[in-house]
Amino acid sequence: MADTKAIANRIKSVKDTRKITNAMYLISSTKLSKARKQLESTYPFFNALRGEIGKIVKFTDVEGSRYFLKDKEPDEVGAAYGMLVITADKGLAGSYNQNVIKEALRLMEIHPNFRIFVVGEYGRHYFTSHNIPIDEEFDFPDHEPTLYTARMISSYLTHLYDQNIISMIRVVYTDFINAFSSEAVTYRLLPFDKKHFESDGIDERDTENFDYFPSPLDVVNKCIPVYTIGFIYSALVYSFCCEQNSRMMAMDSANQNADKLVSELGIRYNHLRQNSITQEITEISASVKAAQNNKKR
Amino acid sequence: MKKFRLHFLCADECKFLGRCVSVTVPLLDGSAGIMAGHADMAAIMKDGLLKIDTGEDVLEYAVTDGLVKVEDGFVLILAFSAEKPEEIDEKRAQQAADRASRLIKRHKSELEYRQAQADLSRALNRIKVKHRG
Repeated sequence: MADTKAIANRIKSVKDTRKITNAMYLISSTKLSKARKQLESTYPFFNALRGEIGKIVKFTDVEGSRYFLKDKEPDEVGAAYGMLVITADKGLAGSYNQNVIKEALRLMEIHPNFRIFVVGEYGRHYFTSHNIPIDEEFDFPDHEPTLYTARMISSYLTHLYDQNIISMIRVVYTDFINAFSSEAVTYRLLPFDKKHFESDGIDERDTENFDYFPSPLDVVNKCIPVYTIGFIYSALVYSFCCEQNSRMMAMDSANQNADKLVSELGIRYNHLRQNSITQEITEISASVKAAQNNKKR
Repeated sequence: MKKFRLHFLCADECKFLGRCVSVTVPLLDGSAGIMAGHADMAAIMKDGLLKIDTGEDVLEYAVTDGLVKVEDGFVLILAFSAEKPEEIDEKRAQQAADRASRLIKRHKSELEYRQAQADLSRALNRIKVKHRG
């Protein structure tokens, strides 16, 4: 009988765990849709901003702006490259965190002189435990990306960029392709390529007598840091969506495994119970028979 | 009064889309009014008060990190954040201002100083706009 009790306990514990994984699944799915909705509400603003920057860049000379790519790549011997790595605060999300870290390590092999900024506890823990130096002061949590966090990150990074402490900023994040696939990607945030702002639409206006206050260069230099906020925000949200999505998939398979385990254990439990009942009946009927035999004698 | 089209966007919301009589924007060298028929321009806004006169109604907002553009009589205003006076929590703004001025005094790093100054400017702008309303 001890065996059936052990199995019953096991079934209960699997069911309890399943409740947790199922709850995590549901939480992830609501967080995912909420984050996507919030991101979509920022599209009009940043698209308009990008359009405006594009128009200024197209018609005026902004060569003096430090935010645009010069003909040559920023020199490799000089200042370090900055790398913003976006990971999650916790695991339990399939290969989500590993993929981002793998991509970051791949970049580091190409250019050893990286200054690393990590978002999310998982990445922070990984880099410190592997003795890879990261920027210690850069400390932003990953849960629920907000425009406010994006602005803090952006001002932190653009400040270092303005001071020439880092000559380039790359963002390593996870791109949300669709519900089933995502990919860890790298994007150069600063300096921008002018092509980034080119629009396909026909826009042949006469901007000769367009007045800029104080100057085209100042307008662009003011707009770019605001635009980077939008870029960082969308990278944060995409990563967040992928994290939730990976977690949903991980939890979904955990749920399925739990279901399978419960049904297998259930069958075993019923077998054992049936066996013990059969045995009991055999014992009783045998003893009844024995008693009857005794009577007859 | 002649009206013109205005589109006013902040980071996560469209604040105004329609026709209005005039709009007053905080430029770097002081407030500037824009009415129908304004010359084409693009200008940086500083943290300040933005006023939209629709003819029937005057709308006021505290704006930060903005850009205003006039093109072919169409005005586009982009501001990272925009709040109506009634949306502003004065206590919170005051706390933010206090925290920022404390950080400015401490002046630990240049980055912190710069961020604190931006925070202070935003907080003071909120308080100022709140008191007008």
